[in-house]
Amino acid sequence: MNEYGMFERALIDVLAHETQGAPVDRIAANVFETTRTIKPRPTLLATLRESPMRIGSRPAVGLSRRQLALAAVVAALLLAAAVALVGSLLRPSEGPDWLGPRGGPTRMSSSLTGPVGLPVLRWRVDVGAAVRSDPVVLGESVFVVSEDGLLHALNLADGTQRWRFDPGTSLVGPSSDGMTLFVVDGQGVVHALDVDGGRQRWASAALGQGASGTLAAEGKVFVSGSEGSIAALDLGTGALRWRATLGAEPVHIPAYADGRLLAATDDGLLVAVNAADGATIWKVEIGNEGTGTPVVANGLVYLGARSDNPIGRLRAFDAGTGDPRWTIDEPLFGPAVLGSLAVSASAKGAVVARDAITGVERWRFGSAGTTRGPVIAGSIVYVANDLDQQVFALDAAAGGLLWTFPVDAGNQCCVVVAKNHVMVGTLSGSIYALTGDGSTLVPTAPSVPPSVLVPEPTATASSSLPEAFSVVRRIALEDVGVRDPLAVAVGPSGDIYVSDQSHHVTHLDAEGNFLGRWGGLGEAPGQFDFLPAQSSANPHGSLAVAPDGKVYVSDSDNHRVQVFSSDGEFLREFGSSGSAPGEFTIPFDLSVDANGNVVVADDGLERITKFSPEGDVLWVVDGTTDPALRGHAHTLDLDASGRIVAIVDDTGMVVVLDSDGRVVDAYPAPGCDVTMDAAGRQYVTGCEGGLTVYGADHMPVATSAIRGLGTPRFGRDGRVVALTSDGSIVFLAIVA
Amino acid sequence: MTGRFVTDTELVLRARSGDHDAFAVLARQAIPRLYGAAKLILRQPDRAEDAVQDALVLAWRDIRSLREPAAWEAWLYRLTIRACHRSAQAHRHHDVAELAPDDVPSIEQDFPRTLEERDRLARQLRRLPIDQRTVVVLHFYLDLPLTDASEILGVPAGTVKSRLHRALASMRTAMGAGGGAVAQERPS
Repeated sequence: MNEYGMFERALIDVLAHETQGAPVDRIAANVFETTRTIKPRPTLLATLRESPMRIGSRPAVGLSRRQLALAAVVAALLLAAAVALVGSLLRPSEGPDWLGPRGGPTRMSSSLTGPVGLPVLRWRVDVGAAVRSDPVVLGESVFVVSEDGLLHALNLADGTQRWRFDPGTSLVGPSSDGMTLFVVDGQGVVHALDVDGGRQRWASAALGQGASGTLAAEGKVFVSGSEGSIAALDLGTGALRWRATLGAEPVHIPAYADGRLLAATDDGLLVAVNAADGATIWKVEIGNEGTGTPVVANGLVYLGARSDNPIGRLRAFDAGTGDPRWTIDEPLFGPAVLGSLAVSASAKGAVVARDAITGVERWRFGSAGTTRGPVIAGSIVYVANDLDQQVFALDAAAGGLLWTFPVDAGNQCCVVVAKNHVMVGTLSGSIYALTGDGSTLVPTAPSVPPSVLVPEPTATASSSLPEAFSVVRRIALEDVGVRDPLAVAVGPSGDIYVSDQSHHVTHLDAEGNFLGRWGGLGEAPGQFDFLPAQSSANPHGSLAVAPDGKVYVSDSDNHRVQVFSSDGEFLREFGSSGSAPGEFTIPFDLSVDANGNVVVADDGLERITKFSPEGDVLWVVDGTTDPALRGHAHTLDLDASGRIVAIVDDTGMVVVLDSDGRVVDAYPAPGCDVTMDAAGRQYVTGCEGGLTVYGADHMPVATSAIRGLGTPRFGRDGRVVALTSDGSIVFLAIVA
Repeated sequence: MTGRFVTDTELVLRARSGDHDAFAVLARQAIPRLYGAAKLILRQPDRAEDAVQDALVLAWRDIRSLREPAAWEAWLYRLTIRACHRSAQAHRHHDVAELAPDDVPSIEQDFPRTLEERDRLARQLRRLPIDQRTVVVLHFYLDLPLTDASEILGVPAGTVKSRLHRALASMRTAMGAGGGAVAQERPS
């Protein structure tokens, strides 16, 4: 018997000796206590969960690839229903984590669950500089690197900062293994940080400039570098384990699966590397197409075009051998993959879904500009549009548009779906955290080829919606001596008040007959200055009428609100120039509730103040009290319960506050004015005209094609009036 | 009282149909080997116990994914090893990284012949990286061919083979039993 035989026999003896004394009864009791209370999953679900395993040549566990493709179609349908049900029951912070670029080591950019329903802005924060890489969402925290070289740890609940890491140089990352964060600085030093407090666990030796990112797997942290190399560091200590040179050009962030790294270089190499020792397993030369980050799924490696590359192809290779499987002659980025669905974006604005196994196209959605980083979460595909500065949600089954959400700048990387949030990072340094309102979504746009698709600015711009109003009567305001009208309001008895650029308020009866006029340019009580000193600002002069008939006038450039009797007798004024509570720079839209409380938006201070009937400040809210209010809040309106609806034109969000100033709802509806009818439906006037009516579920229910229609005002007697751009006032009836 | 011999295949089929008693029989008879494997991989009895419990609960919940009853045991090993690796991942910062071999005197002949030498071998086994230790356990403790180990781990057979080779070489080197060292790292 040779020495090896002896050694192995000794080893077997040691193994047997080491494992004596299993506590069978205790383990069995604990197991059965649980298993008696649950039933096995249905075959389809159980099979989909388990990755395939063969014994001999036969599949023993899970599905074959072909079966997997078929099952995924069925599962997608089940999933859509299950996600809607389960997702609505989940708390916002439940759901899977997101561990770095494209979600984690496989770069599949997918998860089984995401938010349900229309987007609701939970918070938005400004991290100070452009965000160009995916955040990590882990537990109750969001970690994001900004272009100024800072790593920010934010609370998932409200976006507030937990801690910050500043290496004093540029920073790439982050990624995580679920317990530790990894970032690379400008010198190629990898920093391993504790997720809870940001304590540095270790810092590696400098690996050189230009690292593209990190990846944690197999107890190592892999660093892809600018000089064609990949380095493997010990995950516990940061010590260098191996370093391999793949080519002469920079290496994109690699993917990892089954013990191997898949890495692409800028000079067109795709290389499979043994993660244990850095040895090359196979190598494919693609040519100078500008490749991106590989994606591994379904036993395939997908390699798309580099971000922003107008040429290039999407290719699939056998992950085990590197043999080519299929090539799509279109510059698509590496796809998001869930089951048998692979969805790619492109520099030409296309979003293309393909069968992940065969590459056959399933659907296509077109838009202008560059689309970024699709994520598949459950039955929804999320895409950022760089040109339109919007996030699209598409129906994963057929590509129909579900909703859009405007953001404040372009996007070069980052749509992340984790913990039932959609997180978006923008080039202006904003991080948006969106949740869902739980509603059932219906695709509002068909899947059509990009050549015939006109980019839709919002999901709301649908011509199939009914007309909201019919015009009952139209009066030319010139006939009653009003030129260049600014604003209109309706009194409790149907009387109408109109302000104009001559700094007057005109009083009309319910039929539009002239009753009186007061004002004129000046600072004295009863005089107005509606034209703000800043030449770029729009003239204001907003009006509101209280239930008792008192008329409130926003006297913008005199920094005050004046109160008049119904026939124009000056009663009082409140507010003065300044930024303290109760002071104004440019008082703008205002509204009065049933108790005589007045709510005023300030265009200069970008805040909303509520005053008591006596003029005392009840509360002040702005973007610092709730990120949803960051920006200019336009037209305020109140419903019977004192809820306030406002629109923030900077973000295109309609925001609803309760009577105490708390944001209780927000939804995307780009526009510059919003008012509410007695039924609570919200009328959003576009900044360039056009009007859309939203129902209680935030879905558009009607629109208006009335030329030049301004913001409709609703009287307490059911009367609806609006100004039009031709200097008329129209009396409207609600028809839809 | 009469009884009849029930095969594992029949028990698996019964368990697949929701028969918890059949599952209980299968689970009980599997526990000793699952626990042994988990204890060797995790090196801590309490965590091994937890890992086996997790694996068996998952086995019951997902038993309908098992298409081939004969693969029951191999599938349980896979679930157990996954549970061990999850546990190792979760407790990584509590673990002491002990990858370097001890500085021990070499043994020239008839290895290992004493109790002390077997203890040292057990210690070297415990010091292997978890991936290598797992392959050793699958092959030498659970007596599985490398092809099955490859399926269970979901990694190529070549990877399994190289992990095993490195594990043995590393232990032999540490024990001074000859065979030459195999570098675990490429020079940078």
